[in-house]
Amino acid sequence: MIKNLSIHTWITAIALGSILMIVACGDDDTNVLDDEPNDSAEFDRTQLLESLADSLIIPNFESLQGSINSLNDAILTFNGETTQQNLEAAKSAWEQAAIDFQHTSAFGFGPGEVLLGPFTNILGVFPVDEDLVEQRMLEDNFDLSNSFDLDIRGLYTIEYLLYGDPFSTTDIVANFDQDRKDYLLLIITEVKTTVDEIVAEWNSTYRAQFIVDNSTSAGSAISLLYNEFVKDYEIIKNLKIELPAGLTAGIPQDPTFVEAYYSGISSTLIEENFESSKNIYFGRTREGLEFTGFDAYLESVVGGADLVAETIPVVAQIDQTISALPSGRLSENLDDSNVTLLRNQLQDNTKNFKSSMSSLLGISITFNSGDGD
Amino acid sequence: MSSFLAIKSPWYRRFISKMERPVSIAPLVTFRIAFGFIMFVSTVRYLWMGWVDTQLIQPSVHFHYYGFEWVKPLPGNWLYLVFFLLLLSTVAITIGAYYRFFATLFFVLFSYVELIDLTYYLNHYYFVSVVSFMMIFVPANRSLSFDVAVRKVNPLNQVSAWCIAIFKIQIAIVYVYAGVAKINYDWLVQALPLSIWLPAKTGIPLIGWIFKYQFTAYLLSWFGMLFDTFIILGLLFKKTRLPAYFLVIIFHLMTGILFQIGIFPLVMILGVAIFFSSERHQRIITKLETLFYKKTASTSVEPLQERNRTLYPFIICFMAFQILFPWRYLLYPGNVFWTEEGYRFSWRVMLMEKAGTATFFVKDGENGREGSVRNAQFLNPHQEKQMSMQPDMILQYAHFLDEYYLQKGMKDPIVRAECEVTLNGRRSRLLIDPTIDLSEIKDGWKPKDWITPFQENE
Repeated sequence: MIKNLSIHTWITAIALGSILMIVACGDDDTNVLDDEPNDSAEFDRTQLLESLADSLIIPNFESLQGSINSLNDAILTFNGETTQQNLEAAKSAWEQAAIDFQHTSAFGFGPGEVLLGPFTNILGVFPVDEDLVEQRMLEDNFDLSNSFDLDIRGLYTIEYLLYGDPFSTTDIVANFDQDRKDYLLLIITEVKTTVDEIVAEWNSTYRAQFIVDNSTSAGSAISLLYNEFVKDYEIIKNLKIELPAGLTAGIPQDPTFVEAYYSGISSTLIEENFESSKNIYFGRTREGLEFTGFDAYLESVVGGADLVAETIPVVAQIDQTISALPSGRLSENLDDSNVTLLRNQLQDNTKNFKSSMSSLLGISITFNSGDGD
Repeated sequence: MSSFLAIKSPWYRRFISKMERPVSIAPLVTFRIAFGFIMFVSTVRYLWMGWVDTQLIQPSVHFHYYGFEWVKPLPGNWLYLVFFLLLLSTVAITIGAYYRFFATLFFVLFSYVELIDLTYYLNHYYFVSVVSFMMIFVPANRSLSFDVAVRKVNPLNQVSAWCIAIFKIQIAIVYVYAGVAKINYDWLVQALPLSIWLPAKTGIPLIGWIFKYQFTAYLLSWFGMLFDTFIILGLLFKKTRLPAYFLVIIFHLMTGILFQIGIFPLVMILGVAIFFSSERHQRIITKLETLFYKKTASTSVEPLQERNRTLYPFIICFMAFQILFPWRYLLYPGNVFWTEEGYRFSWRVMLMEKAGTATFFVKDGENGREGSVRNAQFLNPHQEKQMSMQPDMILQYAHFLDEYYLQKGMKDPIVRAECEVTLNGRRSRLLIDPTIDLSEIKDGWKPKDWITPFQENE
């Protein structure tokens, strides 16, 4: 290492000396630096934003809107006629909605930013506060829009109502009284309204606003998207795996902390969520069509190609571990070695998505966080 | 009086008499007005951005400066009182009212706010602290001021040369040291970090297109280094002063457009004006006088000057400290950019692109169960970002976690961290030994042997 440093010191000294000599001699030929022909072609950030908006963000929100509408219909049918068959239909509509939600959860900015923060606060908070849900549904005049409790609403509260405690033999259909029907309707209505508004805003005004702002400074479209991408990725590791598995400091293992505890599709949702992260990074639609993604952007900047090359195998390892997760409920298999392995691999990759990437792209991590110097 | 004056050395006597040479007070007065004004703008801006709340009040954890662990933010909204007093002080300094009191108050309060959290360390905040400290000791209120006009303090036409020289020396230190720090392999030969930063700026109107060329990064790297190192020479001589000042304006406007550096460009553009001749400053003052005064007071008074010689040893030590302290990094092994031992307070500005991802693990010393920490639970994004790449902050955070989990009932928590850091686009490396129990390590001046040696890319 010292050898390296001294070579660098020499190169620096020689470069400095020769330049100063040229300046001192008043030589007109100051083009000494011209033999650095690595003029990089400018990366078109507008194109990145356009393709992300048109190939990923808007289609994914529209898919979610579609599946939420189906869920809404299924719930209305079930509420009208509480049969086992209608319940099963509602459950499968819910599963599709939960899967589609994973492909939008990284877009909680712009239209995705609502009164209670990112829209994922409305749709995707878990674990559900069961006791509070049971209490609220008995209140005649409960006003959801005036409640700031995040764990009594959204997709996972709907899941709780439709599936119930996986270890209870209580008959959901037989016990689905008017209070439960009313509460279910209240929740799905809020979810539907939220998603409808996001889709409408993206399709009317926000798309143009999003693609026009092609800087990388704090609060720009790229910085908003990138920051949410990182946050969403970290949620997979921190909240969907680490916390339930007891891999968080000072918090013992708790199976009820997993996402989708009642339906048991936790592992599927983790897979879909990571798929979404990859789609943003590599520029791929859910159908697998390629477009300009962050990898192309990275490859256009100093050191970026190396970072992409370093990221690809780690991502492949994560894919492999996800597919090796136990086939049963994640909540019953939290001690499986693949769970810990997955956490470790996700952590290994965090730097690739987070500090290394933002550093090379010159993206400000946060909005309004003060000056640098 | 002072033992320093007993020094018989002719060199020292010549030096003192040179420093006591009477010179026009004008540059000092315009400097005072400019300084007060920028600090007013800066304080208003800080309030306007809501930073009192987001940076100082909201965070549950604050990173302290070594030796200043005792500095704590005032509870609740009391910090707003501090900012009100800061505003009041800046106004008082600008108009020269109860000057010495308010200059002292400003220095104390500004430095207090600065010392609350190491996260927000900026060289230009330190510069403001240093300058406001020196302002306390000079009679900058003895002309064109409330103190002279209303409080009938004796006006002065002239002051000892040192009263102006100390500011020039301080500004010279800032530029020259910032320039010398740029003489390194990454900056000059690789044009880093500008090669990373500039391509992200192609969206800037009019000039944006030039940043897509790597040649621009080289050009600006070399220009920046030469500018910082030699601009003071240009400012010293009458012939070159005006073009040099023109360069100062261009340079700082450029950095102001390119980077998020707040009011720093304005601070330097106005601060450097102290290098102009006293005649030029006098003309500004005369204009201001006719604006605000009916009579012109200063021309009718006898030249006076303050000869408070007890201050001299103190001032000499202070300036010596300013000159020597930035070199302390030479006493540490390893790359100063990587270890950051001796990095701060040394005018290393906009010098590197560094970022890290730090994951902390806390192990229960009793049952051996280890879990990781979600940093966002304790730190705001700015704090997490700064902490993730700076060893002393990593250590502080580890100690905080140790304390936190101890209080939560964990017996003997063992805290370790995996900190992956990228410097100037190099691939991320472990910054510190990931196996070491950080809770057992104390911060200090000694070299931190738990920092992993810096590695070039293979």
